[in-house]
Amino acid sequence: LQRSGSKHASTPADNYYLARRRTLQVVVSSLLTEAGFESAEKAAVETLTEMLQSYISEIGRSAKSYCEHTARTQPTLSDIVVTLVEMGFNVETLPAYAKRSQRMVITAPPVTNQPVTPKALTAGQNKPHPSHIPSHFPEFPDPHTYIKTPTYREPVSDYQVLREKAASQRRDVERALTRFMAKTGETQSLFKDDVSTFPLIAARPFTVPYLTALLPSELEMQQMEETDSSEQDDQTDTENLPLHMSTDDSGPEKENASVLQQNTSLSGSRNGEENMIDNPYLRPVKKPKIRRKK
Amino acid sequence: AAPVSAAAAAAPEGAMSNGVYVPPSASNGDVKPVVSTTPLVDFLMQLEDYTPTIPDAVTGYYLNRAGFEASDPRIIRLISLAAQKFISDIANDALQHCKMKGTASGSSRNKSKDKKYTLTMEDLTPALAEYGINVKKPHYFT
Repeated sequence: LQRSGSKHASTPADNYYLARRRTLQVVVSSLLTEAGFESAEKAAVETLTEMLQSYISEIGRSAKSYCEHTARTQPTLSDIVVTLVEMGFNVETLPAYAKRSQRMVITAPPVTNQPVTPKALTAGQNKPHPSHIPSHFPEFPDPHTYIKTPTYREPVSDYQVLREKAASQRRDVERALTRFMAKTGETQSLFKDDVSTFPLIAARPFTVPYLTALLPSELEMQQMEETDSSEQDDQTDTENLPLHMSTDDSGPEKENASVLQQNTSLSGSRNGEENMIDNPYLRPVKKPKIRRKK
Repeated sequence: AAPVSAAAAAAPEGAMSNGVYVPPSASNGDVKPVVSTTPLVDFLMQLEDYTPTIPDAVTGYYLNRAGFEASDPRIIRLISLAAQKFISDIANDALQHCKMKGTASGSSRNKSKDKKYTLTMEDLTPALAEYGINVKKPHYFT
């Protein structure tokens, strides 16, 4: 269980261990002095220290085993006597030895080396142990360990601020879009001199203005077909309805049909307006002609 | 816990009495086959005043490492005393060896051998060999 000659920074447990080992060395030295030696080889002292440590450990282990062998937990004098006898130690001579060596100077004061974190470094109250943790476990670290700061800010949820933001965003978007259309298409300016300050999207007059109203584009044709089909479905529905309902509903049905027709005409006119602006991004998609080689 | 004085009856063969091995062939009527702890009980009472050289904390530390939890501090003193005696017995044997080597050749008969004895490995090794401990130190190259 000993660490041989490590030059790394020793833990408090190592300090504990080394302090006691040094004490044993001092004890061995004092015993040698008592025996009559003036000096000793370092290797010899180390040998005796190692022997002393292992002797004490062996007595402890063996006494513990004897004690547990008789179904006890606390060792008594008998256990130790039996242990010493087993290790070849003459127990009878022990009192004589004790009396003899009473003249020996009692050296080697006990070592009090308890590692404690200095008070200056601890900050605040440590969290106490919850009930399921035994008390001999180390304590929790200082409370600043658990501090966490979120790296995001909470979004603003004030109604007024949000409405203002939404309105300003919408205005900015509209402005940007119209400027974009003015930059990409033709423009007319209100002022004679300054062309670029307030560009207005040019209103391109057609030679035959009503032509686009009369001739719808392909896209509008598709839309009209869809609306026609939906119209026809509605008309069939309206025709079917009187079979089940009373004749009083015929008036509103006709109104519905006329409203539908007006809607299609309105959509057609709106499409004409878009055609007049002729924004390249609003033109219909031109698909390339695929020639199939047979 | 009051120490119990146990009278352990030794086995008829290979008896271990008083810590000294008695072979069955050499047994005679004088050998007491019983090891009693009564003198030690009295000795334990005396131990309260006497403090061994090894501090109680150090001995207790090594005993705790071995799993031995002492209820009575006098037990710890007994163990430390036993360990002390063990080492000092070896030291005395080594001293004898040292003295024997010094005066073996009969040098300096007028004055006694000088008081300065140094414990060397050459003295320690035969002393330990008598206890059955064999130490071998490597010869260094320099």
